[in-house]
Amino acid sequence: MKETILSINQLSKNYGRIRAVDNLSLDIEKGNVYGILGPNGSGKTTTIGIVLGVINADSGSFKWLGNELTNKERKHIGSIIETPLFYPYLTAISNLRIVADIKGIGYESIEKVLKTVDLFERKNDRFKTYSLGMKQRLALAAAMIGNPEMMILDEPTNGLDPQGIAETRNLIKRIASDGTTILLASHLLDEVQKVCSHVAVLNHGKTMFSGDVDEVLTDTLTIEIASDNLEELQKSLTDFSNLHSITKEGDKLVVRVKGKTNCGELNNFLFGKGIVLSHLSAKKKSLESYFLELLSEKND
Amino acid sequence: MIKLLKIEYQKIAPYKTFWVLFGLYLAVLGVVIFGTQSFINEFFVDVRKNSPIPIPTVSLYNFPDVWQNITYLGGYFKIFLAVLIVILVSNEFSFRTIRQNIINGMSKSEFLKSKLLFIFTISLASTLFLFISGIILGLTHTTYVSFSKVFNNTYFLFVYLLELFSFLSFAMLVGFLVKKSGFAIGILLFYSYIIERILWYKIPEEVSQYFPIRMIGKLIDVPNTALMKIFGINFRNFVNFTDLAIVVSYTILFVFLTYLLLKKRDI
Repeated sequence: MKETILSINQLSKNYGRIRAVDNLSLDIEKGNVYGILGPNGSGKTTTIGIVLGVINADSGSFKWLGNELTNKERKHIGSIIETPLFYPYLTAISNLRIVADIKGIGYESIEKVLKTVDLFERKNDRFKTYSLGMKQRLALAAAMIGNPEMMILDEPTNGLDPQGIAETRNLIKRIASDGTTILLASHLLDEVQKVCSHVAVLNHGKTMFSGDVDEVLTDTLTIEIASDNLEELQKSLTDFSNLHSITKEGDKLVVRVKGKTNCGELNNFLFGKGIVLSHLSAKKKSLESYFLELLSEKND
Repeated sequence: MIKLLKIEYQKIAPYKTFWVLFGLYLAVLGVVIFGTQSFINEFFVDVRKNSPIPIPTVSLYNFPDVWQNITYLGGYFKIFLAVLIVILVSNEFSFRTIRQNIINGMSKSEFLKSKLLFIFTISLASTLFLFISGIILGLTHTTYVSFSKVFNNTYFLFVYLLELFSFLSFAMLVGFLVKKSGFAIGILLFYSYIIERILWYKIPEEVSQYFPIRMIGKLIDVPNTALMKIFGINFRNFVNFTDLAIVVSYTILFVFLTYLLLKKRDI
């Protein structure tokens, strides 16, 4: 069993009458890239604020490696919350020195992280002269100081241009491949899909889904089918090129097919094999379509 | 402790606003301390001419009186430093760097400690400035200098240090409470110069004499000069132990309230 780094247990937080986090439970294991996916206002930042000790929870608890949160833990976590927070009148270097001093580590890694995020040339410029994208990159650099065991990144690609977004995602993947555990909060489905291994989908402060990204977020369609002979049906399906998985549920087969395959194609394929279906229905929506619905609901 | 002070230093070292205001403070303090004696004497030149009784020229800078005189004068300017502290504290909130400091691994009490250390350092700097000024003025104005004469009343410097530290702790509390610099400065000035003063008159003396700003202000009383003796006014030329104890208690209260605010509030 993998080591649990962060365990969140029935956390709740209200802002007046708004329930920002609602009985949330979540476990984060070492070495994984966790995504917290949710539309704006779904409680992502509040949850992160609570586990980092800057927001007080109304109820519930959380444990870092089985312990209460102390500075020692925080020093081994590189975090970005919402927006890059730095002293505007200080240069990038000075800002990062303060971070290093707080974490109690030397200044050696500062130049390296600045190079990694491509801000080395601007290291002696004041933070307030930076563009939003540069500020975001500096925040990422600050989070990387001292090779933390874990990084908590809240919307790390906010304000970046497409190239910056791609670079940042690659950077996160690279950091993760070195064994760093990453908790990434994002409202972008595509980002979580590309970067994370696990995901929890949040809405109104509640977990809607959680699990393996491949399991819950693959672009698949779930179709329920049945015929007189299920075994024959199952055997024939293995030849179907766009098949993702088959599971038997009672007298029906639940088939997940990849990509843009639709019910008609499947039916056509089986008909070609001489099988007539007695039942065919596209089952419940995939998580993706559910999530998109969630987002469009917000935008209305 | 050194580490926290170093972090505070990193935060202000390139911060021009701070150094300009601090420089201005020292300049004004210097001008007032070095200039008051001649100002008073100039002011009385005409009065002296027409006066039936001889008015002596005022001498503020003799050892050991110089210590009470300059620490008393210096007390009027602590509001400059208080404004500085309010700005620095509320900056942490408006830049939300307090949040990042804590996320990065500073505890809330360490954050408070770093601000207290800073307040202490700045109070100490002002006290040192007065010490050096006092030595210079005393040596140039005292006819017979002896070791005991020079250092006899230097305890006023320690009391001055407490006066500053206590008032700046109050300013820090206001900064933590209000979080917006303009608003916080407004409240600090409004409370110190208006609200409490109105209350002094509205509330019986037995109670209002213990109000914090008043207590802090009267630690060092108005010095007795030869001039005042003529008018038969006699002020305390010593520091009351009860006053010290009360001011120390207020200071502890300010710091404790700040700590509670930090602990209970979301940052």
